[in-house]
Amino acid sequence: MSAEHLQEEFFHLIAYMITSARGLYEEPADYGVFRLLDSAGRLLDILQNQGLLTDRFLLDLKQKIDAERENSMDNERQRQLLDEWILAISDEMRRRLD
Amino acid sequence: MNTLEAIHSRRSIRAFTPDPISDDDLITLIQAGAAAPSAGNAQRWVFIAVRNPKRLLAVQSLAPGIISKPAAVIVLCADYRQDVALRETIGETIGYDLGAALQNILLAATELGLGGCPVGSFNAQGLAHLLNLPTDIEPKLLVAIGKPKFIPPKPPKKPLEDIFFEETYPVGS
Repeated sequence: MSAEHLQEEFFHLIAYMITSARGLYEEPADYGVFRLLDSAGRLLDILQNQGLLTDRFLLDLKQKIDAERENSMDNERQRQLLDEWILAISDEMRRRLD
Repeated sequence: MNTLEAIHSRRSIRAFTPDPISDDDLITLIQAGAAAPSAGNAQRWVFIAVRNPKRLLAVQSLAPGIISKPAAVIVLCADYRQDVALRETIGETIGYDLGAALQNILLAATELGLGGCPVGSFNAQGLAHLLNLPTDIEPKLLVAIGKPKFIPPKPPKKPLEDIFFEETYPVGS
């Protein structure tokens, strides 16, 4: 892992996020949901590429996000999934606070 | 695979294996695209294929609609070099032409065991700059291409009775 390589990966993630932000002025609002989800997935990709993804919760979340990124978008299903993930995340937050 | 089989088995592929696309397959795809009909056979199009991994990553960063990691991205561009004065009026026609080229590329990909997905979510200005396009060649549509990681199920389509009418549109509808 080198700082230069890490910054290169972040450079592309940031480019993606800024391009997405600009595109959302014209694109359907629902696309914003997917762009944020995809950004989370790309961030986890970078952590994994850099050998920094060791947290079991995040590893599990990455698997779920990756599966969702590869499927066609179904708004209702995605809304339910996000609700489930947020509950799991808040559960994990509580566990880490204990 | 005959034409109807290709039409009905084609799926929008968004997840790809890491397999590369061969030169032969790429040329077959571009030739299929360029064989599409165009208004007045004017062929006001340019196809840019990006396979270099670093450039592909840069393209993806400017094209949020590309999901997963395709082996190639084909950029379908409108070529206004011969019609600069008509740029505003022929834009729609070029859209139809590029749509036909796009479908040819997707059907050829299906025949070759590849898959793809049209991508409309990209920043045209940034992409044109990245790809060194002159101002009268404009990126209009992208196709992400690669070997499918899996074949998604057939998506629901509207029943024919909702979209097809013989002779005239039914009274009272």
